[in-house]
Amino acid sequence: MTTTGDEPGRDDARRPRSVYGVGTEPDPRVSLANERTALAWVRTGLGLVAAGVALTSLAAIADLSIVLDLLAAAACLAGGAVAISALVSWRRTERAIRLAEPLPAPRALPVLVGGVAIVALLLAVQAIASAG
Amino acid sequence: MPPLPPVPGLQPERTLFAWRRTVVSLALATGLVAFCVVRVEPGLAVGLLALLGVGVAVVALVRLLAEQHDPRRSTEPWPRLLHGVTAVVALAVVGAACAVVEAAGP
Repeated sequence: MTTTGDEPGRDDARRPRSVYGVGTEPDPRVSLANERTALAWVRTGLGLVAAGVALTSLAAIADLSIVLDLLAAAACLAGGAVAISALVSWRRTERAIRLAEPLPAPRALPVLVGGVAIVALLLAVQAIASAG
Repeated sequence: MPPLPPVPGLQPERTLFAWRRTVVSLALATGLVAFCVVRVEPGLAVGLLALLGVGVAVVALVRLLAEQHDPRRSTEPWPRLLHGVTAVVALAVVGAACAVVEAAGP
């Protein structure tokens, strides 16, 4: 499928042009599902930011190691990266849907799972070290 | 939501509720990060930058809400997603700065 800018019913004012300027109008159910997936990723990023802020607050209140503060900073930055990744992923997926191409693989998912596992491991090591 | 084509099983309310969950989460996280900035009591320069970051998040949140209620814009998710992500990134930077200030200690 190619660009069909003069297609009847096409809203040419929609942004971004790199998405809405290509392909054909997809099933709206698929587009809405893509939007909800992006929102779920944004909320995941927000959850990481909130967890980081909560962790640094807890570390300050309970006078815990600065390792927790550094982990909290990493969690906050990872949350921001996940949110940006949601935006990029929405755009790639919407383009693929409009062009009837195979959907791109979720690149952020393995990184997120690996990151959460590493943070969990470091927190467990920190807890054992402070208990010993 | 604007009138969408009558497709069986479209369920536009699911997307609307997803946006509402996101907006409520953003508002709560903004409050949490603002509280953290006040609690940490960073120096003047870092404090002003942190408040600037929280301000960016609040403005992005307000613009997101405005876009959501604009019938000309409500069928294109990109501007709203952009505002939401801007808010999350601003909060992430401020949160990380708070954590680093805490790690540096008094």
